[in-house]
Amino acid sequence: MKRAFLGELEEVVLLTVAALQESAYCASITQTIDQQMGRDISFPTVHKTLQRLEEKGFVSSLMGGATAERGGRQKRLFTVTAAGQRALMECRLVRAQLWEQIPTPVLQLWGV
Amino acid sequence: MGRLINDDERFPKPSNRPPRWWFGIPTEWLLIHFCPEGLEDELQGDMMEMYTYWLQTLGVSKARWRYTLAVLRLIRPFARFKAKRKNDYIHSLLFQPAMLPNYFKIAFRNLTRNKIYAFINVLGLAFGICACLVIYLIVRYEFSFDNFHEDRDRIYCVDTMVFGGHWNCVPGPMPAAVRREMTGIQTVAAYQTYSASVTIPGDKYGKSKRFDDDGSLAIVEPQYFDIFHYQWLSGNATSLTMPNSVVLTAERAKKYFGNLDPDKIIGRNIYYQDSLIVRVTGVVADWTGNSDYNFSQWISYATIPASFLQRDITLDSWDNLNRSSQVMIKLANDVKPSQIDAQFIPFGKRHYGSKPGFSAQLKPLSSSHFHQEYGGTARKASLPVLYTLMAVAGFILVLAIVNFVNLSTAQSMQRAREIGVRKVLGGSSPSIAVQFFSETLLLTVAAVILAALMVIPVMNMFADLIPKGVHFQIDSATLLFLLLVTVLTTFLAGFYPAKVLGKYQPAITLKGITTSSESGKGTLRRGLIVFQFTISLVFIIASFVIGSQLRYVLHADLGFKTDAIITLGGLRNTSMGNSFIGSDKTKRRQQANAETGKIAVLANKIQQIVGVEQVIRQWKSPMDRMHSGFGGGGLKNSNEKPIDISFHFGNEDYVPFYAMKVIAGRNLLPNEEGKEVLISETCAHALGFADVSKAIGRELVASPVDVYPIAGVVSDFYENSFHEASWPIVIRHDPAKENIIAVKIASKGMVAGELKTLIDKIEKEWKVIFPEKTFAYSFLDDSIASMYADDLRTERLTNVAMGITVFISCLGLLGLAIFSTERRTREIGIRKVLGASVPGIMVMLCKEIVLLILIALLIASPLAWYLMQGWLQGFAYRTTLSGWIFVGAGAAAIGIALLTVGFQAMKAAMADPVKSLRTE
Repeated sequence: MKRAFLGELEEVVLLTVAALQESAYCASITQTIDQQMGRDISFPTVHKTLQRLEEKGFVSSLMGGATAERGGRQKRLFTVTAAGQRALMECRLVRAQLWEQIPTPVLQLWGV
Repeated sequence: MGRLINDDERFPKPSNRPPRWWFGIPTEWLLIHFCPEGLEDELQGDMMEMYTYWLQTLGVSKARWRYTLAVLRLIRPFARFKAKRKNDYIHSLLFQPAMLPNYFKIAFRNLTRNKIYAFINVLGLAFGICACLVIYLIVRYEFSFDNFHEDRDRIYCVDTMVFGGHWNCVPGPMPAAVRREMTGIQTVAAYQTYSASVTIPGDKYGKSKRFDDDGSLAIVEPQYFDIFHYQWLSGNATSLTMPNSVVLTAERAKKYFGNLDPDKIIGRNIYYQDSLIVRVTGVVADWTGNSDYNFSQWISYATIPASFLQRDITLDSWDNLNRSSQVMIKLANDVKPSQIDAQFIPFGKRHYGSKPGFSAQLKPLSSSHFHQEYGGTARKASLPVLYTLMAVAGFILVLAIVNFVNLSTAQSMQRAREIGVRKVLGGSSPSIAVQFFSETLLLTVAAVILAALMVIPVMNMFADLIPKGVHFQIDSATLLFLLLVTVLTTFLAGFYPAKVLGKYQPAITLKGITTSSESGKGTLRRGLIVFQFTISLVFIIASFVIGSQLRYVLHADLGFKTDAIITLGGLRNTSMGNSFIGSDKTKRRQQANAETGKIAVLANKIQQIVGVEQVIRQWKSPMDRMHSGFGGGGLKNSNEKPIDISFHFGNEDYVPFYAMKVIAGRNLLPNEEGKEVLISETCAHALGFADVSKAIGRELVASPVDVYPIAGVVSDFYENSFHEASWPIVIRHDPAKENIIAVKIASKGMVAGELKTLIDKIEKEWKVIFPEKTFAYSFLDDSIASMYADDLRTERLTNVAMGITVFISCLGLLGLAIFSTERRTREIGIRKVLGASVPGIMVMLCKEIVLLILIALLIASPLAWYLMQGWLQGFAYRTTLSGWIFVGAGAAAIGIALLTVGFQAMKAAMADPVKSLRTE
């Protein structure tokens, strides 16, 4: 079974792209991860991850509108491609399978 | 100051702007100029937003820090290669294997087209690699000593200091005492080096065989074989507990007894020095590795007390020091040498009492090959020399590589069009780099092969500079070294051309404009030439300085006559080649007396030979390695600080024989034994006499008990090699010590044949009186020169290094001159048409080189001065480093360089302008 490999960081970034939809560009993605996951992540790391995701074909990009707060400069907006969707769903499936394999008493013990 | 951010105005103007500078880092400029291509807009915008975000969440200082860090990670050299989204059609960036044959084909064509270029490049590299290879072989050989023993990290030598000096030996009773008194040692083995002639008695048919000493003989305790492991072919180590037994190696046994089975050799007799009869009790296999302990015949230690050897080897006195006594120690597991060193302090106190001057330290076996002061008297290597050699090898290789780079970039103009075509047809700049690397590889492999072919002749040529055991053979380590050199050279030499050529823009080069970036590369080439000539000049200056110092050393007026004087040697090797150090000399003196009579007879006989002008008996020549000193010299009843004095022994003939000058008082009187002394001028000054004649008649304390009146003062002469200062000298007559004969030969214009017959006659007389001793002689000036053997080697080595560096530099220069004159052919033509003269053009072509060498001289002079000053510190008497040496070196370098380029320049200047202008 061959599957496009998705690293943990790539998964997080890809999920954020999916969550942000139209307003997914590098700065907003970094800020979202920073705020929502409480995860100290550096801008260049996200930038590189996005480039890598694009090389792998999980996201596609196009140049979008400029705003005043960014000095009138364009942003690169990302959207999840079909391959990206598949990869994300596969990830979720694998995790769900593993969750299901945890015996119920254990889950009850955890208070889930 | 309040917070920088307030809620009313979300983005206060001055502070939401990202910092232009952060601790000297021009962040904005970096982001604008080094942004990955195509991403400028989005990154700058994103970074601006991120900065605002950080300002809000983290505060201004952290925001600035984050911002700068992010910028540094985003800009070009650190960011990933440009995303491939725009040129997906290039699949393999680095190289296409299918192109390799083409690369080699083009490289080969290029080399055959530019034969001179290829020749210079390969030859320069080959010389560099050859020098490296030879030095590698030497270094590998020197570091291969004694690294094959089992438990070698537990085997130690003892560096003993007795009577204030390192004598490379230990007191005779020390090994036994160490074994008795110290803990933590697994094995102690005492051994004595011994030299003796060997006689193998013949059986009833054969004649007896005789062998001269070859330094392979040792007297050892059986424990020696517990420390050093041998494979026993017959017998075992316990046989060495008995007196008069000897163990041989297989090779030695073969030499003595022919191809006999080892078991049959057991029980055969060997006579050492015609008087020590021993029986072979064991045969061991030879070691295959290099070792300083490569004895091949071991006599049992128990033989010493049971034979005449006890006269020569004292095993019971702590005050007598045999230079032959050695000890080898193997520590128990997990014992540190420092634990033993600590035990040596009370050990010294126990055996030497309050007398200071004894100390001992364990030294690892592996280091004994590099230290004169312990571990036996085998040929030692000098670590500084080895490190210098390695540095020289490195420099020479770097020079050759620099040459290569220089020539490749000079030639790159001609390749520009080819590169343009390649790029247009789809070659990427990495693939062009691969092409040039493969070209470099081709040349390097050719050079390595040439170097490997040259190694053996080169090693023969410099055989006297290379230790005997160094051989060139192709083995895995040598191949690995050559592979390493090839890879390194290819990479270093190919890197710059590959990078520069790969960057050519096809649009520009195809138009035929190749001089766009001319100035930059010109600077690099000039820099490399300056670098090469700096190194060459350092070697030239070093060579000049060493040469002038050695001329000074060898031709200085030593204060005595050295020519036509023969010293008869061999006497000193009579018994053991060991000298006694200490106070108990009685035994020695008796023995000497027996010999003194014989020597007097011999001296008389030699005196009667025709052609001999004068014969004297002496203890040593005025300048000699031997030295006998006394540290408590002074005037009788004087309370001044005692001075060091050095003794020379001879009778009234000593001073006139060596043509020394008596400047005050008179010479010693004949037939008067040791009542009076002569002192040197320095000695008189040291005793406190400004006017040397005042010293006459005063009494000199020259030993703890003896006092001598001073009869005269001789002018100073040098008594040591120039490395050490002369001590104040005292000349005294003591017949017991004077057991060396010096012969002055009468005529100056003696032909070599006559000299030979004269020496034969002397040898005949010698054989009559000392039939058992080998006759050896040396000319005084030769033996003085031999004191500088190391320096003469250094001189030759420096000269060779100088030759190679100058040669390589000139090759590079020649290549460059050829290319630059070729490129300027048309310019020269135009100049000539406009009236320039041939000399004018030659000056134009050469003046830059002269300038470059002058710059190199400016850099090299202080460097060389510093290095040579260090070398000269090793001499007590030295020439001054005059400025003329530096001027001379510069002139020589310029001269050689002009000779190299002059022919090219002349050819270019003489060329017919019509021809050169027509070429288009």
